[in-house]
Amino acid sequence: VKLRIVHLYPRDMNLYGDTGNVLVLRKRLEWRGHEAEVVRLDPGSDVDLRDADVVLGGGGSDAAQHVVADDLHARRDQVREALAERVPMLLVCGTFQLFGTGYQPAEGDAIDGIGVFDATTTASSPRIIGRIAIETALGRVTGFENHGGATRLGPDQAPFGRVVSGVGNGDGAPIEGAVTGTAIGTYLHGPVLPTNPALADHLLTLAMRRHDPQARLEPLGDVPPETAAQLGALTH
Amino acid sequence: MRRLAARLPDGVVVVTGTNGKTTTCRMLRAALSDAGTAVVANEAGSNMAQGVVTALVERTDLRGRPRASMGVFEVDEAALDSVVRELRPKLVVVLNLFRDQLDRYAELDLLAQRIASALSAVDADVLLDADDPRVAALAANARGTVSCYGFDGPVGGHEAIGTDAADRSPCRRCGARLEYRWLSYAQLGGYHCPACGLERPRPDVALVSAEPASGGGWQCRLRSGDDVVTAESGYAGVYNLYNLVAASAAAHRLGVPLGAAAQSAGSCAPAAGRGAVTTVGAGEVVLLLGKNPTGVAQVLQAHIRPAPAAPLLVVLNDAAADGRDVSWIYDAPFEVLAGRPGPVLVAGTRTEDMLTRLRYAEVDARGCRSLEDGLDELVARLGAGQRGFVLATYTAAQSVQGHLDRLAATATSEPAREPRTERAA
Repeated sequence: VKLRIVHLYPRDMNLYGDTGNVLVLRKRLEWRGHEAEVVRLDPGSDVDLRDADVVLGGGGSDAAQHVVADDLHARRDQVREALAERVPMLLVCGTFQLFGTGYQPAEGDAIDGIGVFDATTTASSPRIIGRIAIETALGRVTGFENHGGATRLGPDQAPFGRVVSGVGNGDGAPIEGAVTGTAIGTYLHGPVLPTNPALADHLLTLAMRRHDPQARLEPLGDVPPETAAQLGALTH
Repeated sequence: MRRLAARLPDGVVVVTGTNGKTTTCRMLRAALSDAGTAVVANEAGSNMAQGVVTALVERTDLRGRPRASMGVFEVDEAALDSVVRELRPKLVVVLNLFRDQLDRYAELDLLAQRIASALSAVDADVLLDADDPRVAALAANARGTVSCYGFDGPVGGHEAIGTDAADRSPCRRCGARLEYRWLSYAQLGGYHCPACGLERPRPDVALVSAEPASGGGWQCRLRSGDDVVTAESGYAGVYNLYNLVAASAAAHRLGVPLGAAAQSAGSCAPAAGRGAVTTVGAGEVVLLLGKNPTGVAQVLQAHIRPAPAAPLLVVLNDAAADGRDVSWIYDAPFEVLAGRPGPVLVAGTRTEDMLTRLRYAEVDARGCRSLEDGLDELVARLGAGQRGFVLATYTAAQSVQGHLDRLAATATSEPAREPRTERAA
């Protein structure tokens, strides 16, 4: 199988090793004998998100978020249709904020989000910085959080996980990220996929099932079998 | 700090920026010393306020008189604002701004703003890297005279690895994306703005050309205005050419003839952890600091890739001084290590993270129980006269140097002998 990994805004939104997430998905496909095509989507690109098998987005500065926001708004329908087609998406930090309802930086105009998540972010101080562990439907997920925004989820918005140690979304509740359909929003850097192979294989399982609904990934020896059986199940 | 610094009759020079502070200061100090100026400087990496004070106190006699006439201090980018208000430097050199320790510094644009505020707080002349657009833009904030240094074009015969657009900044005048006619590495190069016509400032002192010399250094031509001089540098790597030009330009600015400045800068011995060689066991070990993606890319390219059979130990720590966030290892091109004979050895507080990184880079690697075990194994693998490398983050490099010194001392018949240290080829 050949899968298409779309890296969302690598030029502007790749602040904390986010490209490592792309590397992990590509290698885990190649190690299983599949092909991976990595497509970079920068503002103005004619790449269509509906042709993606999996979408990855990373973090960026406030200035960078302004740069990509218009382009993302122009793709709002693409994003919704791709999610309706169960395209898995992992949206980290700045991209998570833009997939929410909006972000108010410390200085300057607010940036409207595209509302995939009912999650509103406002700049907060001091920055939330440190190692974090959360409990998710895929088990324990660990990473490094480094953000200056506090994100409040709407009453019906599911979080990605419950905070075990660290801060999380930063609005007071011990929850982290958000999940809508096959889209996961999170503040976890690290990057998150190299140290959390179950999350990587979850995204790849959903991506494979776009081509074969019964698809199962061959084990690589770093995901416990009982977790592997659950992959693809973390959707709301 | 203010009173001690004010007693230096020839004033103070401050060097800041992400990469190259220690080597540039060392080169500048050599150029000034060779020209007859007695210099007080802070040693490798002690570049917060405390390190500057320590250096000043050590070089002041009991009557409070300085035993040097000029100060050359490297100052951490984030500490610059408070330190320059005390030191009142006559010249501030800003080298470059790369992503480094984002857990401490947040974003590059915020860091540039802090440096701008520091420059606007003192009556210092400013020397800027013209090839780094974020640094060149600081000219607007200087209160003293601004001059800049850079390359006149790309250095031939070198292919930049691990260069991506991640550190690039938009045009300071109109916000459009800058375009590059040539690129040295990362965001350093000959840029211009296609939208508003902004051009890179012409460097006052520039590298005209550099040809690789035998032994890993360079045969260089530099110019001041249109006067061209030649110099040899023993420092491998394009990044060290930038350090050489920065130090030569600063010394020239302080009255040293450019040719003499460059020759002194290029021939001084490297600082610990910046390519210094320690003879130990049957061979010798080169310790290289690598603490951010651009720095690691440059070090891999200049030192480690040209020696594909050399044993290698990578040490990753996450103490505060290293940066607690180790995600940057995914932005560094460790892929070039694939195919080396024998596993790459890995140690440090974040051994597991580095092993995972190398696994995804498809590099044969093995974790060591401790840094000391790793070094012992590296040294045991060295054949007669063979060179091995250690690539280490900041606190790791300090521990490595300590253990290397002990190994070197016990290997000799005179236990108290200083380890022999010389320049890396």
